[in-house]
Amino acid sequence: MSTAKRRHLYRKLATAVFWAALLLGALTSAIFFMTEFKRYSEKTVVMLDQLLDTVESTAAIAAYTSNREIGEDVLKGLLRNDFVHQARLTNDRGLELIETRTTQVPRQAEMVRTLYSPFGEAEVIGHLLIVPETQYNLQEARHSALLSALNSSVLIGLTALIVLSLVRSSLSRPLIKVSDALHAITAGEQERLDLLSRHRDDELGQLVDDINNLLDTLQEKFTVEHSLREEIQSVEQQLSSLFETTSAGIFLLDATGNLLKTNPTLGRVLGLPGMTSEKLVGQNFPALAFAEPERLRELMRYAGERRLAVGIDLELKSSGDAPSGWVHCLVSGQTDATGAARFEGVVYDVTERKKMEEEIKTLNEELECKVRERTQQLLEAQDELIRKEKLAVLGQVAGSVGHELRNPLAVMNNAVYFLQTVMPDADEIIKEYLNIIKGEIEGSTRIVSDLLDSVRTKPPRTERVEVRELLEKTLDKCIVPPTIAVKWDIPETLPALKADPQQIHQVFRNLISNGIEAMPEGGVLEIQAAADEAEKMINLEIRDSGVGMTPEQLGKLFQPLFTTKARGIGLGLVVVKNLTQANGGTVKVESEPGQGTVFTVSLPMDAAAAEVT
Amino acid sequence: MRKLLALLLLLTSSARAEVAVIANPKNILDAPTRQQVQDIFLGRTRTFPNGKFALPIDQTSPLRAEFYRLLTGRPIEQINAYWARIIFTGQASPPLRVPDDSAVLKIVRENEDAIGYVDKAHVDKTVHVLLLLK
Repeated sequence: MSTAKRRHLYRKLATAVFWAALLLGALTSAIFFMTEFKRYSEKTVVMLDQLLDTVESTAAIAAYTSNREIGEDVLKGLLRNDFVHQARLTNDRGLELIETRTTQVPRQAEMVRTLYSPFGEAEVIGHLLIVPETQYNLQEARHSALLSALNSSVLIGLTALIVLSLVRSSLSRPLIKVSDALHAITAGEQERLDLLSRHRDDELGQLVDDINNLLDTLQEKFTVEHSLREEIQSVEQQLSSLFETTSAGIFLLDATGNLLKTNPTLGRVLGLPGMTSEKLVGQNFPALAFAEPERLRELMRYAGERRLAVGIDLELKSSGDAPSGWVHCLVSGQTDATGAARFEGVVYDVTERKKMEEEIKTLNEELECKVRERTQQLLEAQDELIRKEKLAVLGQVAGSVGHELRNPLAVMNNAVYFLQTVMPDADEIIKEYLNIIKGEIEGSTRIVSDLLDSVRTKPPRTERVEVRELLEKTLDKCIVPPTIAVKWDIPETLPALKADPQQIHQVFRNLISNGIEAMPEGGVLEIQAAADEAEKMINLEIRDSGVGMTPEQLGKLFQPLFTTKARGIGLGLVVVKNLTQANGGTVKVESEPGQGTVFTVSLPMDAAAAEVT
Repeated sequence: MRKLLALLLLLTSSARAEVAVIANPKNILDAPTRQQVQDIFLGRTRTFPNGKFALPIDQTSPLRAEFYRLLTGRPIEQINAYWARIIFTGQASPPLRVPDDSAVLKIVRENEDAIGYVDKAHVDKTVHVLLLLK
């Protein structure tokens, strides 16, 4: 390649010289031709002038004597000269002689000589006219120009050859020598070009010096580059080993999420241990490993739009029975050299962290639940305390008042009984009033009993109690207005209770009469019973369709002396609660204003009976 | 001595200053001009102004130089050279030359077309003077 270049340079130089010589030769020839033509034309004019001088007197004689022969002689003599194209002789007596050469040439300016009489004083007797021969001038000029062109071409050619050989010997050869030496030198080595002895002080010497300086600089640069490269290699190795051995999975994705490059750890992190880097490349990353690929795609879109590194926790696809793992995925949007979108990122296993978080969450929930429970218990305990305190106060009053009222009431009851017995034939009004007195005494006795029951509950004497029987007995004792329908649904298979029948009867009776009183405009009273086998409890629901209660009313419902009824002293539900609790049960209430009220009484099942069934 | 001779020559020539151009009396001509006479003697024309053929008679005597000097203002050598050149072509010839005035007179008397020149002193009634050259 270098040789071809060298030859080309020579050829270019030679061609340039050739064309320059040709152009110069042509140019000088053209100039020479023009100047020669002009010179010859002028010379011809001078020669014609001389010729005319020579023949003038003879021509004058011919014109004077109108002698045709002499005239023709003169004209022929003129035509013998190459540079005369045409000669003409005329005189004032009608003589006109013409001699012409047969050449075809452009017309030239003719020369006219006036002929005077040889004897008269300036008497014009005729004219002698000559047309110069241009062909002659042209030929002469062309000849001269050709000679000059040849001459100059030879001279220029010779000069060019000399210059070429000089250039070759003093420039090209040393240059080739320098070039060859330069080819033999490896850049970055200690070798340098030899100084050319003949060219130590000229441009070539300068060039060799410059090249040597350049080689010095190159060597320095190479050394620096070499050390830099070593440094880069060591950093690359470190990075590569980091890339290979890190516990995090590293990946590069194209715009559609297909994997372009991964580190060996990625497969393991994704829970796909069989997938090597080679197998992973080309797969669609979001669809390959994640339970919700759309979340990763969304993350990529976000990272691409914001040019930010963004990260989220992602759940992996569960494979088989193994529980699915979690990874934290960091993605940042990039562009490659061609401007196409790329995503690079890191995933690392956060399954343990996730598990811990879940545990903490569960524990928190449990804790909250316990706190709520405990708060509820505290509130209940507080309520209970208040109730107990009230009951204690009530107890002190009720104890003495109740005791004091009971005996008079018993006396009054006996007295009425006596009157009814002794006056069987009394008129109807007396009988009616006696009944009224008897009813009111029973009511008062009940109030007193309730009062006493509410402050000092007797320990229950538990026995097996059939709910159905007890309920039937209770309903018999209750006076149900005709506007109220009572529906009750007690399964045949309902297990028996283990409770004090007297106390539970009072509980039922209080709840049923409360329900009836809550429906002054009439309604439906529903009673349902169901067994809770797991808790070994029987739940009894008493639902009315009455006026219902506000939450404030519900809160104070079981406190003594709280009542919503016009006639009542607020002890019925206190008794219900006391007695239920005494029998190992609970009582709950649900109500909304206008929606009616539901009381649920839970009482322990008769364990022996349950086992039997 | 030479100056004296020249002066003498001038005197003699001035003494013979008048030359008469003569023709036959029968040739009825208006007096021709000097130019017309010159044209006849130098071969430019071969006729008189009236169209008749003209026969010029020249002389070999010394009067010839005087005649041409008076007629053309040119020396006789130039006239001779002129004729020599024409004779050289062989296409024309100069006028007939006779020895003296008497011979001229004789030819003019005898020839109707002749025209010649003589010293004015030798002119007689037998010829007709066309022009006097001084």
